[in-house]
Amino acid sequence: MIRLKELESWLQDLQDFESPKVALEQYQTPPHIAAHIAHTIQASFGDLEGKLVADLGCGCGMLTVAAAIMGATSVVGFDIDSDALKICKENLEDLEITAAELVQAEVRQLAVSHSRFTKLFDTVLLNPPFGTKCNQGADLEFVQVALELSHGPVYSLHKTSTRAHIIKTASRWGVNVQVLAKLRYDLPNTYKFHKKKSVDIEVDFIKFTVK
Amino acid sequence: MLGTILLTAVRRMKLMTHNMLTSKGMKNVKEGFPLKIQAEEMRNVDIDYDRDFITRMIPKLDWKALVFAAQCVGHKEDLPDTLPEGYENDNELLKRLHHVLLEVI
Repeated sequence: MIRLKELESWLQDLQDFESPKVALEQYQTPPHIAAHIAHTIQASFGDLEGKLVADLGCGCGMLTVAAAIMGATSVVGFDIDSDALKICKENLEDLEITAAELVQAEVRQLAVSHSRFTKLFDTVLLNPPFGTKCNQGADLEFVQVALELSHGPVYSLHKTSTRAHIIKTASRWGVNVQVLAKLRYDLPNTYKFHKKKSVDIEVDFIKFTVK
Repeated sequence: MLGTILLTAVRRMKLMTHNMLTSKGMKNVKEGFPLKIQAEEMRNVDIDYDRDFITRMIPKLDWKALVFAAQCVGHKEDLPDTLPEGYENDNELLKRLHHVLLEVI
């Protein structure tokens, strides 16, 4: 298995969003976080190597690439934004990732309109929009789709401040929540409404499994 | 409504994913599947052969659509018209399927 440091150094080479879109809450998953996540999913749970994996809201492909490097047989990255997918495509080509493909789609529509994706994937991972600004609840909407698409676990990132709400909602769905790590996520000053240069927010790395 | 759903292959797509991109079940869409392939230039990549993976995927495939797609990209001869019984023990077929599903892009 590839070492964590080595994985992280591959991920550091990825191109970021050119002009991130506020409405889509676009920001790159930091390479050290993506590396930690993918490495843990494989090392602790064996949920990437030889698996069919989906990345919902893949953006520029940070988690898609990480999953492929960790040995996924096939990774499908879904995103609505063609600008992000264009960069993602270049990232896959630059790193010669041959196990990943991209599909442009509105994530929230995937489970309802494309029934053959239902329970297709072995593992689904995502760094969803956190649902701040005018987008409240977006993260759990994405998780709900992820749970539809996966017949196995779902790995996701959520603001630690919303943990109680997530646990409560998941329990209503009949879904187990396991907080695997609390991470410090450095949100760069990507958008005009951010006053500070960067903001550290605390983020939970969560594993969801259907009971 | 078709207009609200955007689903497009970006970059090259493998036949396994193509096979899953169905619009069956979408309202007001009669003939949405299989998507026709316009293969401009296909190329091959190397993916480690994993017999378990392929065996697991077969029941999820729409075989007829796969044969149609394979024909579009010049791999019709690799697949029988119908999925034979006992395919899980036919290593040659599984290897050809691995190639068609995951290595042709």
